[in-house]
Amino acid sequence: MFRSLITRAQRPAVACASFSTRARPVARPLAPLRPSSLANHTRFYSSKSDGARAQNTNSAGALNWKTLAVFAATGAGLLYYFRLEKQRVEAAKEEEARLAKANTTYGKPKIGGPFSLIDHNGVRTTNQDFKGRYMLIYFGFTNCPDICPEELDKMAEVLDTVSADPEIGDVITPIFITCDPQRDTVAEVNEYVKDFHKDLIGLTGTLEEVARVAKSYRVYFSKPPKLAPGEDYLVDHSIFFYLMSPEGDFVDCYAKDHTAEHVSQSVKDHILAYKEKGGKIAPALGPRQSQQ
Amino acid sequence: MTQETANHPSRADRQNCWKVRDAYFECLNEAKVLDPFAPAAANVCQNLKEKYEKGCMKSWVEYFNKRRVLEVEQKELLERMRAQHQAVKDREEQTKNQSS
Repeated sequence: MFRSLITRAQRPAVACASFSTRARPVARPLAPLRPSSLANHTRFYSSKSDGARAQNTNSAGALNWKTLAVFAATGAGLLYYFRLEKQRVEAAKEEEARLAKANTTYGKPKIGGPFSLIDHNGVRTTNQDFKGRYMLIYFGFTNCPDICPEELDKMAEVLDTVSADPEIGDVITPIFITCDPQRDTVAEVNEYVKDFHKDLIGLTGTLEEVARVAKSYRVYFSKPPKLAPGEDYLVDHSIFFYLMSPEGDFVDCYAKDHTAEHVSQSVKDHILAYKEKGGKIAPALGPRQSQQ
Repeated sequence: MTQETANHPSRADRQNCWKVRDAYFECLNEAKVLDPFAPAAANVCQNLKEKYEKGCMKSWVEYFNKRRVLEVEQKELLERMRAQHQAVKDREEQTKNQSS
């Protein structure tokens, strides 16, 4: 995610620099934004075309060899520059694709961590109980109007697609954590998770416990401040879902605009890369370690 | 555990709510009314509005109504930004053609 942000931010800067080579005075205020490495080229071309255009208008459209030569040189220079630039952008794109495939990240963000909550059967459950398998975690609430149910349906689809892959199988535990623990009791969560997937585990807890896990996943949530007793309300919350490794480390996160196909492919790629490196994943959820 | 023990809407409740909401919003579209809270909405689609407000929780109705307006505003903003961007690009293209 961070990677794509960086490259996206770079591209407009490049486009901006190449536009200003056409030496339009109006474009000048953009000049300080130009990367310094490009500044030299720009000045070289722009001064030439400035001069060329001035000459052209002065001689009232008459073609003289000098003007033509300058135009040809400028044209060739620009062409060369754009080719180079295109190559550079393509190389950057390839590198990006390679890195995405190679499963590399620039420093792991510190997302996730230990938690202790109550599952939808009323059993105290910690992150230790899910070790050894991938986790797909979504934060939501049972009274959520449309985004949560849509995202949870997507998660269920991803889960079925990934586990249907003969090279992967059943290696993910899907988890729903409520960020509305005051209304979402064990019974509510129990009823809710059944709507989406037979393996979906619902977790709730005290407000403090939920706030702690939300904070460690960088999930923001907020309930309206002033409520009449019994008044119904919505909880505003972040809507990413997270893929966590068998060691409990953050692997990737997915947003609302990612399709089920995209997420399934990405999750598969991560799992296959992990297996290729000799990683072992438990084929089923073991007995609750936190209960022993 | 039976369905009655849950206070939150079930999958069927949600789907029904979305259905009556879509019907009401479609009616508003035909009446050329954007904001369901606007005075202009008070005289149209009353039958569907009643069904919508009965089929969805109060907080959902507020949320859907606000989002309906927001979505249109966002779309308009995006289109304006796109048009501006295109205008800048066209000007650059023109300048390029003139200078080469």
